[in-house]
Amino acid sequence: MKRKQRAADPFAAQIKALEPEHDQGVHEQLSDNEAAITGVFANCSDLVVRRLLIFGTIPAMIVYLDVLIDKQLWDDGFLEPLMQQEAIKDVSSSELYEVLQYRLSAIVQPSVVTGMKDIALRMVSGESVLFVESSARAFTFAVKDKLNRALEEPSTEAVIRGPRYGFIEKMDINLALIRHRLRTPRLKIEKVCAGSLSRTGIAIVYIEGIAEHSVVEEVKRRIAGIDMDSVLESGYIEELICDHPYSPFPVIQATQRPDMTTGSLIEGKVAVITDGSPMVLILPVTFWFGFQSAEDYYMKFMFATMLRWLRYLFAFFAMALPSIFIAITTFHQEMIPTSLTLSLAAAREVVPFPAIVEALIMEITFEALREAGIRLPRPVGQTISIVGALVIGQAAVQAGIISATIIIVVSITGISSFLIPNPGMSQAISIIRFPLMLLAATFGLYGLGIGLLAILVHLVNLRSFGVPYMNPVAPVSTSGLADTLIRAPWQLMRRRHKHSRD
Amino acid sequence: MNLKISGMQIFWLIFSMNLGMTLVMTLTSSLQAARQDAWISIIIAGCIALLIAVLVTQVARLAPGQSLIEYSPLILGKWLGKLVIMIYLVQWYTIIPIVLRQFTDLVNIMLLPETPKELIILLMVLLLTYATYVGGIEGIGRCSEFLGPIIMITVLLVLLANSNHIHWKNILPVYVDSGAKHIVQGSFAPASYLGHSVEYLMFASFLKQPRKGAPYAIWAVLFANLLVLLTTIMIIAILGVNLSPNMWYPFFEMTQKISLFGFIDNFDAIPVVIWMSSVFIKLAVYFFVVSYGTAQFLKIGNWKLLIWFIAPVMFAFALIPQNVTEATTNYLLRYWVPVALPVNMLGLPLLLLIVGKWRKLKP
Repeated sequence: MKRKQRAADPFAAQIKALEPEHDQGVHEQLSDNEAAITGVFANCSDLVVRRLLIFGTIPAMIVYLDVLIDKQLWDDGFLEPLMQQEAIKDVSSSELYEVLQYRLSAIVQPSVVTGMKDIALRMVSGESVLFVESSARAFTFAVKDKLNRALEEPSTEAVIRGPRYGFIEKMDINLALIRHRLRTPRLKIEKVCAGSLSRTGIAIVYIEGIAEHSVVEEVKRRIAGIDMDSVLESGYIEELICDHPYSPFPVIQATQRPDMTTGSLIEGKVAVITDGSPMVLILPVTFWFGFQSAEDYYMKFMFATMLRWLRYLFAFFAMALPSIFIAITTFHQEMIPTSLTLSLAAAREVVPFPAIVEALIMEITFEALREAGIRLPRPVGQTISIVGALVIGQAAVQAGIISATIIIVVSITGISSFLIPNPGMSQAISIIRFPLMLLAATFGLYGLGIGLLAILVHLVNLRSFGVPYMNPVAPVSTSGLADTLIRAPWQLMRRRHKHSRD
Repeated sequence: MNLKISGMQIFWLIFSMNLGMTLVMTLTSSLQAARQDAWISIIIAGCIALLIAVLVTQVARLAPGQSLIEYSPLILGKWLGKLVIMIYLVQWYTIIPIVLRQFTDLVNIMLLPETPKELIILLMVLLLTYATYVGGIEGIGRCSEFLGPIIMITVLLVLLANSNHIHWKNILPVYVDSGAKHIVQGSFAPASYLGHSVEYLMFASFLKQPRKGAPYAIWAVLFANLLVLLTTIMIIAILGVNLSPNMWYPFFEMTQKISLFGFIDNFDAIPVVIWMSSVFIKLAVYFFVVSYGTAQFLKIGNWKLLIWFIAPVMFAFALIPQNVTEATTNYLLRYWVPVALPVNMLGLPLLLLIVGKWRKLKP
């Protein structure tokens, strides 16, 4: 966004640079048109040019990119009926368009184009173009291939209770999943494009009247400001449009769950769907949103409340447990009960390293195992990571390199980080763990306290599209607390909680 | 950056500012003067603090949306107004190094006996600089909203966990041993620390609804008073008055006595860490007030520039006192009680209020 705009429309500039003469009108002669098209799409083996006679006598030409077409529909729904049209005499090209449109209702989104640049753009997005002899206009129609895959349960956001399907890489399907759950015309979907080469479709979804209008405008403004060659995943957009790109904390939530997205839309949030990515961005979000799961709202409120507190507690552990351990064993041994001190001392007797080195070795090893678990082929991934952790841990303890206590601490920390439903939040907390450990190793509990205060200062100053990140705790709002500190029963959550802006 | 705070944030700001330091720093001198009647001193101190709160909220009402630096010359005239501001600036510039130093001494004694003072001060100054620079009063207010309840709950938990050590006979006899003079004498130190609501003069101007801040400020003082009173009674009842007047930090000595379930022993480090956050809020507020006030006074547009000057100066000043006594007792008994309490907290607000009202009556 900070880079200067290179041109008003970078794509236009590129097309022009490639083939200067192709920003011109459609030629009257079919052969001229063919030459122009094959010129632009030179060396594109998927370009198909078909000549045919329509209405018995009129010579015509159809061009399209083979790989983007649904062949079955193209043959049965379009080509066959087109070839079988009865002859009409003395039909002008404008009338021809009318006739085609009414007779061939199977044609999807027919339109008339006159510019070659427009044609090229339409072809790369999967449309077919029909040129007719001695007409300076062409007809385009969309028989696009819907490269689909089955709807599957999102692996990163699994639930016990709740719908099983998640978003996929196709934007149309994702939009349908949302429309299926919100049957109201107030659900608005605005499409824009980003990336001068990829021309990725981006949909901004919100509910009119509930979503803050200023947020929608701000999202549009920031997306329009994206100046990149390609936008391949929603992660690009997330980083480019978020308020604090240099903060470890996610101020935009990415989810693969349609129910989560729908719920957020009803809360007045805005969803940004990127074509080609199953991760939908939700904004604005608060810190506490990272600890909420869609499932919280499907189960009994008491249990959901308990789960939330469990998550808050273990998120704190995931962040600070190693540092608390280091601080107490290094500086404040008096806090540990005597018998435990003795056994700790006995376990650490053979270990050559100070607590901080021990903890760092194990934490880094754990992070490495976690990363390895993701990269390894799926069938072996989990086994390797568990066996690796167990075997390495066991051997390290027996060899006297590290103490058994630190293994317990690191394991609890590791498990805790998986309790956080939002992967982005989990990553943030994993990163923060390390500076806290260093502070605790140098300044004990004092350093840890200073570190935690610094994190708090950072958090309270974050904003997500105008909404304070620590809302509704700081600044406090009672209606919001009912859905943050606890998951209040539905009977009591009569009024929709809206994020306060200030 | 728009600097706006809400009424709730005022409450937690003043509450945290008042509670932390009063609990730890002033009770000893109170106990020394009034012995087992120190709790009566605290009640008197509380009344003085409430009076201060009422006074300053009334003064702030004279010119809603303006800070002391702006309305003091308006009310008192150019030169007298500037003099008043200077008096307050002296208070703010001296309190930060002293509180920093008192805090560092405590951390040194309770947590890190071998760590050099410079490093402890440096870490805190860095945090304060960060908090003030990034968030201003708005960020500090939000921090206090998050930390205030934690501080309150921790103090209550400490008191609750100690309830099995109470010996009520330590409170007796009431009054006869000390007498009115000593009791009143014992109330000055806590009153001067509970009177920190005087900073309301500065941050009232950041309120979203400037006219509605007064009740929050008064309630905050009241709540802090009650907790300090409760703690004092507990300290007298648990530690007795033979020991406690000789302790530097009777509140933490009391937390050291906590012993529950056979394994919660010596957990005083946790309350110290929580207490740290109260000191952090107090210092951050002063950091902001000093830099913002100085910028307004000297007509410097960007108040944040001053932080780069104030932070190193405060760091250096905090190193000046030679020992704990100099930092804690001397400043408290030589400046804070005889000068700041009567002049800055009572006299000048009263002067501003009277002159301000009189000027308003006169068209």
